[in-house]
Amino acid sequence: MAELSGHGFAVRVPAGWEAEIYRRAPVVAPRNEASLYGADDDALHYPPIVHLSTIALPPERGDFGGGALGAMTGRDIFISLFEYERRDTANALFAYDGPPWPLSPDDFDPSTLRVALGDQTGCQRFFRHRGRAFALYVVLGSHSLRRLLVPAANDALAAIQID
Amino acid sequence: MTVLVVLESIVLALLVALVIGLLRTHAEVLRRLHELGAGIYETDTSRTTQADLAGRVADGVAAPRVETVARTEVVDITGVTPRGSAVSIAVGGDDRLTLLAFLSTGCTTCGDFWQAWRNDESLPLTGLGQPRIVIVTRGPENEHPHAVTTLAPATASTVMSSEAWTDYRVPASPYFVLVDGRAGVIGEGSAASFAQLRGVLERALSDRRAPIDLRDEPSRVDAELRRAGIVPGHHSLYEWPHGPESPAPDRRSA
Repeated sequence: MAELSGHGFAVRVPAGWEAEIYRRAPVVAPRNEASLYGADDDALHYPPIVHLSTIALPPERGDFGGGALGAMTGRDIFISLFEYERRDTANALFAYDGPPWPLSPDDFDPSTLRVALGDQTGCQRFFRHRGRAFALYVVLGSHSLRRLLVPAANDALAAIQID
Repeated sequence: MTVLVVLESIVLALLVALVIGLLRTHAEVLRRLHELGAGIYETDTSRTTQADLAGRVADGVAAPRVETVARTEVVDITGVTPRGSAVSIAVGGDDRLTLLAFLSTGCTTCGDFWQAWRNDESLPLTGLGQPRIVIVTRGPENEHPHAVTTLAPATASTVMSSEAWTDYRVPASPYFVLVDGRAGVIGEGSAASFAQLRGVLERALSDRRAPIDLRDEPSRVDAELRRAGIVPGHHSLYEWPHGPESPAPDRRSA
């Protein structure tokens, strides 16, 4: 089992899954803004993101799977864990404390998807954990098969450790 | 007279020394030829050495490894992208066909492959379709990430991982390993150009398919039996060759 770490995450990648921990380059980077990440000024403007997926992750894709989700079959799963700035933990949107997993099949709704594709369904949760703010976005290949797929998604989520 | 004998002895000694020197040189030449696979006293013709293979490929092309047993294990590729992201790429599993392209930034022969994939050239394989291309360079301790970023295509995954080179026992670059997620490694080798790579892969696949054609395929067996006059119910199908203890079949006429 492969293990990845970076940007305050550690992931034990389940067999048959792909994963990447990366940061998006900033569009605008104010120079004199105080960093909430300590001495690492750049980190404020480079949100770390974790992707876990049963499909092949194309090198160019959106932070929430744009450009990749069309390749999903009914049995595939895509997970994006997107970190916001630390100051966002004060926002009511991130009031839920702690990782929101394990998820339930009832948490999934096709209307949650940013782009509706076939029978796909999704779940989005905002939360804070250890002073960091996150959005969790999970896409299942089939709403009809969500009871079958959610346990596998939970296993993958359990393999993510947030420092 | 004595002087003559002494002189002859000296000349004879010099000739003996010369002959010994020539024999030693000859033996050294034969030994070197033997190491290169051209030995005239080769007795074990079944064994192929790395030197044999190295002498049969073009300059800049890595010789394939010498292995007597086909390698089938599949190892996922874990490393970093040229931009520094930690990444794990799944190679094993159903419905996965991956071409691992082990390339370097400094190798001249690799340039054709970097260019081909930057131009988004496809590599369809007969009967298998388009494999996923994963370019694997050595890790950041051996390759400069900026150089890899400059060469890496936008549409193919590029991973820097020295571990993958070790896992797949890559002898040199460029080197290619075609992996079926279920069956394991189904072909590997080097090539001097992108066009040659297509040929190498197609040959590897046809070699792999060939033994399958020799299997007992039911429809082919039926056709051959029918041509021989043996149809369902033919008595020869119920004759047991081992005597009285054989089960007694229900004999029916053809």
